[in-house]
Amino acid sequence: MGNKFSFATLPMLGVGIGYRQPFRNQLFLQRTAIDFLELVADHFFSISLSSQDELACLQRNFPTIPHGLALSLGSADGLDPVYTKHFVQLLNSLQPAWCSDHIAFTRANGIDIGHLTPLPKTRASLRVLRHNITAFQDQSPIPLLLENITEPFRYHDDQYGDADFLCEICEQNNVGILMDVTNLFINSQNYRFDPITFLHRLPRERLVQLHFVGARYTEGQWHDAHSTPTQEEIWQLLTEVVKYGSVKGIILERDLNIPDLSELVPELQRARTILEEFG
Amino acid sequence: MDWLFDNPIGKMSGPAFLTLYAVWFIFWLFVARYVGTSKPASPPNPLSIPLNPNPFHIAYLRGGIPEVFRTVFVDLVEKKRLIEVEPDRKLYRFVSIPTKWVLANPMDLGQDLTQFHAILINGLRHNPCSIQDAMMQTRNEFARKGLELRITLETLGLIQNERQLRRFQALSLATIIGFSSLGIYKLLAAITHGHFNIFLLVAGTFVGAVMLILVGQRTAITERGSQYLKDLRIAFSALKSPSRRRDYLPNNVFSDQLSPTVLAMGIFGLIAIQNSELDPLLHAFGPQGLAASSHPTGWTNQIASGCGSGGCGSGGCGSGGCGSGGCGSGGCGSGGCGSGGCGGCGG
Repeated sequence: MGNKFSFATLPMLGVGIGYRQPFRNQLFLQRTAIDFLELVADHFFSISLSSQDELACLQRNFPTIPHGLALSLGSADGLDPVYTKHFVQLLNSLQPAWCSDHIAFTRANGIDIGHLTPLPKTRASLRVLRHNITAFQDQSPIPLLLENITEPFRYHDDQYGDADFLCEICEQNNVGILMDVTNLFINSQNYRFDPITFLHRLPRERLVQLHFVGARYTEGQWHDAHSTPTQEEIWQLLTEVVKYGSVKGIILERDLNIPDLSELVPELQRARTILEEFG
Repeated sequence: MDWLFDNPIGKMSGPAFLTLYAVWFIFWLFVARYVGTSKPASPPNPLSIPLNPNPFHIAYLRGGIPEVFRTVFVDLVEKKRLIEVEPDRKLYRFVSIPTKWVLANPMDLGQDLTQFHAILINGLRHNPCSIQDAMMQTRNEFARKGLELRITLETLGLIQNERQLRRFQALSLATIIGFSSLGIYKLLAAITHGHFNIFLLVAGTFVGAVMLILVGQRTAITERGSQYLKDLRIAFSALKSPSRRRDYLPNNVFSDQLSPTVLAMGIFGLIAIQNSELDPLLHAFGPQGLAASSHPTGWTNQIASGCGSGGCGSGGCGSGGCGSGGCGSGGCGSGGCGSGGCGGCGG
């Protein structure tokens, strides 16, 4: 992907959900509430016929955006060629408006950690990211967005602040931002910084997509559990992000404690109202 | 005109000709298969699943009028507007009789439902009757109303239109003519040469033509239609199971008019009521009903079947041959047939 790519040219997708299989039963009955779907790319790497049929059916009926979990762009040992190949194949078949993964690593020294792990905010990390992102972009021209994750811990040797690190990633790699508003809220609460100040330092044209869901507070810490309705503080922060950025799509992410899809419709409608009013 | 029959094929011996004919048949078998599996052209862009899927449209797409009838019938039973009539146990103690059905309310006109419902209600107005009888009584009216469904589906590019159907019929017929032409030619040559032992040739031509018809059958559903049906089955897979159907709360799609069961019937056929409270209906429809509904054949090409029953088997030259055993692998060998050819092969 050339460095001149403008994220402002990406299409407006609206409001949707992170597709999980339990939603399928009601997905087509709640179509008016769902503008697009975000698919966990890893779930569709299988070549089984049923998985491919399901993917084709979703693709025919909704705009779809693949979201990777384990590209592990922060791994010093480079991209996993098999995972990357599957991801690129999926992109080729879906031809989505954009795709996304995380600013994290899930693999180190060939060992799968099984969790999104934060990167040290250092120049070395930036070099690793640049190397891996370039390798990925060499294989696929689909615009790439990177998502901020929650940080259960921080490194002592960070050389950049949160916003500076994110800005550097965007600048060096021509990637957009998938702002997980819940993660931003959680980090700002756990590490006591002002999320609005953080937000206003980011390149607004690169704020393309948002994730949101409720956060959970236990043992004096906020956690990203993807299991509860969205709290009012997160709605307020989401509104601020929409006002500031050039948001093209908002995704509600529920992974646990999955309710009937109809129960999520009010949240989707509220997000749509915010996007229509402030986007 | 000597050249017409005095040529290598006209004078070919029975076994040699049968071998050639077998190869000829295999060639046409591939052609028939190709014709049969090629989907009628349809708009390239897929049809997305509508907000309010119509189970009767879907049933028609899946299997034509019989499927619409089954869907309507199950819907009326589920709505308790049709009820089962208890047979007289004294009269029918030792024989099994088909279950009969009657309107729960004799004044019911079915006007609050679809026209298909009204037709069926009207058909059952006077006497209790079995499903099969009800189907027979209402089939003409169902077929008339079904024309509207057909036109809708044709317009959407989900089933082949008249032009495509005629083209397919022509191709199908050409395949059969192409195959049998060689056999008919050999038949004439054999008769001209005074060989009347042509039973195997006639039988082979007949069986071959029937096989080509069977292999060449195809459904009227277009590529777009199959994809649409497939999408519906994936999207509403949970509806197939009666226990999971209860998870479908009434919402913008389901109402008193449209229940999850009737949508499931439209998409999956009778199999959708298996293991549900409507399960006894399966027996009333009979095993053929369930089989037909699960693997609908209502759309197999009618012209091809017609040809099979009438056109191609009319040779009728069953006499005079050497019987079924005559041209077996042994009898037709080098010793058995000689230059005069094998009795049954016309050679």
